[in-house]
Amino acid sequence: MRAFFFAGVLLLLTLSSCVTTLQSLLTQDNIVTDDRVAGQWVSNDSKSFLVQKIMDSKFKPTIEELDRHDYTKADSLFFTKLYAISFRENNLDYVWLCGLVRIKDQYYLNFEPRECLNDLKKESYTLEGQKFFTTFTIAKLEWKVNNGLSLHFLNGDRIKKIILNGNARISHEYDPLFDTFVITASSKELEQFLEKYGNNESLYDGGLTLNFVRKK
Amino acid sequence: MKRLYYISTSLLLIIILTGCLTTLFPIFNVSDVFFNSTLIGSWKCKEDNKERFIEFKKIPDDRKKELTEEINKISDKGYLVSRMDSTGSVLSQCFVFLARIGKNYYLDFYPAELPSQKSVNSFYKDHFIKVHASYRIDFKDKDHFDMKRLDGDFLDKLISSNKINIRHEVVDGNIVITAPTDELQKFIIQYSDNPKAFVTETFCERSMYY
Repeated sequence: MRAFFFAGVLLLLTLSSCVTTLQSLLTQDNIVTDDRVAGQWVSNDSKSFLVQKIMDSKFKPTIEELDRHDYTKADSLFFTKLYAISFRENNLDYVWLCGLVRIKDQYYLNFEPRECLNDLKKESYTLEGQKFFTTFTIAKLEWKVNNGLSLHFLNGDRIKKIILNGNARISHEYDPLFDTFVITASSKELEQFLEKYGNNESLYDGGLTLNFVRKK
Repeated sequence: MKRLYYISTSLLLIIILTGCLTTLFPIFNVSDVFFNSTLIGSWKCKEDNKERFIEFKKIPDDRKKELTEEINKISDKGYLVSRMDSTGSVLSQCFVFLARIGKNYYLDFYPAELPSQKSVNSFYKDHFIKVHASYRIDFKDKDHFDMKRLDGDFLDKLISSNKINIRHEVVDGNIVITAPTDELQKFIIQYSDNPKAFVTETFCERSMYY
């Protein structure tokens, strides 16, 4: 049974601002896999997404060669548990990496942007001469009947307000001059935050929910 | 947990694994910024024996909306800097602010979006936190200046050997400087005369008057 879904990520955005994390939620200890994840999925706006186990994706050769770099066998094993999500939008090919974590019987997906390539196979967002830090997003996963899945993203504006007001304690950095906000909590702290607040529905209110169905 | 750097050479290697010091906060406070018209114009620069072409101009009004209300209060003192190839095609752009910190002048580069970047999915973009890259600038005359970059490796070594206490995060073994502006300025002033801290990277000469 392969009924899972995610991705649709692209819709998200304009609806609510996104709060991202500098550190990944994923660790060698908490990452899990689920065979239902891989496959072709369709979002509620009819966009198509391909979700592959990373070892079934174009990244397989890279994973197999990791031992030539500064990676341990445990690192390599960790990476084999990731999924690659691909979709095309406005003539750009996107790839995200995603990993699954289970906290108190609740599944969460950790998203990481990987590629945004134009038709010449060149990266289209991160350009020479510009500096960025890559960050992550976490979504709560809700399994649906009939091969469906919903992703619930935290309401970024609300989370930011709660943190900046001191009503939730989690490591973060905020520069008001350029309005830069990022959560800097460690993987462990993120896990603890989700243990405590992960099922607090008010944190998702006003945030985006995406619905997906497995392609027949 | 290490990130999978080697999975896509086009992306992450450019973003993080460069020797330049990048910081979450700008190196300047609003009161440090001023405008120097000498910079306006096109410049031919040599970086590592490669020729680059950059253009400084005032931030056009239609680009100011990309900046926050706070930074817009001083946007008339800022520059939009384009990095171009030899044919004049723009490769990338940054908002740049010139600041005096201690006895020296510095340029703070912050990414600005090209039209091609504006079409990128906004959720994807939200995952790339724009950060500041800083250079010391030494004006030679009205047609020449040098840029010395704050050497990220130098700072990494100071931090790793506990010779300096500056706020940072370690992400996948890489040091991300999260120190606020005042702390950054203390570091800059402390090491401004240390030749190991600032690496001469770019020599620029004017290539055209405006």
